[in-house]
Amino acid sequence: MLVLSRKNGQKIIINDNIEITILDSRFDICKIAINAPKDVKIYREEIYNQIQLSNKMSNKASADAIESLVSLVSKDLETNKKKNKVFIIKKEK
Amino acid sequence: MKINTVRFGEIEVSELSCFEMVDSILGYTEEKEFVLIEHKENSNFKWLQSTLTPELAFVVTFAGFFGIDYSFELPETVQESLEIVDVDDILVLNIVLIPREKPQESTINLLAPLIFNIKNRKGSQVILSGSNFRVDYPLFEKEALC
Repeated sequence: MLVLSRKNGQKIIINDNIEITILDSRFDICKIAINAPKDVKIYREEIYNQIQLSNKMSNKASADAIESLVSLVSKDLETNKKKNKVFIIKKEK
Repeated sequence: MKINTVRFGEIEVSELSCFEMVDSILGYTEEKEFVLIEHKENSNFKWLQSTLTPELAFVVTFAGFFGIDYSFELPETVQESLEIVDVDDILVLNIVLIPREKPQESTINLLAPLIFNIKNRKGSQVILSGSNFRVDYPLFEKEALC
């Protein structure tokens, strides 16, 4: 891995078409500006990882799991009506 | 064409229901082709099954079905990569996570929807950066199911 030290305002050029500027770096926060072609995808790592993890967990569902979900969907519509009533009671308090 | 699946056995699918992922589902870069399989008649869920890997399938649905107010601006790069010319050609589906033995805790991924162009059958998973959508929005309110 390449490690570079940069001062505020200094830049890094990658591959002739990506320009990274350190705007500001103080305490433990670093503000970075990235100039890149539109088709270069840039994500915050934690969001990227979160979605990847969610995808990994989402493809484990069995054919039965979807059936139990479907039965809950209709149940939810009914209980939502009840929930509205509960809400009215709370308001009266 | 015939494909092998773990959940449905060997099935015959129309090439018209196959989608080429131009931007892959995150974590599955080798998976370039998926087929949309209806769960059941009148069901609001579908399966997105890999044509390559028999065990790889996602449960997907429409956010609107759950009363979720879901609108966003499609990034220009996605419009270009999917070659979308008409808004009516866009199909938006969201992946559902059903925890094992706990379907009542199911969540829907609103942050990274699957976007398809139904005309050329190209698709991608799009991260709506800068939005406040959750990756794990609960499908059911906890109290509602007590």
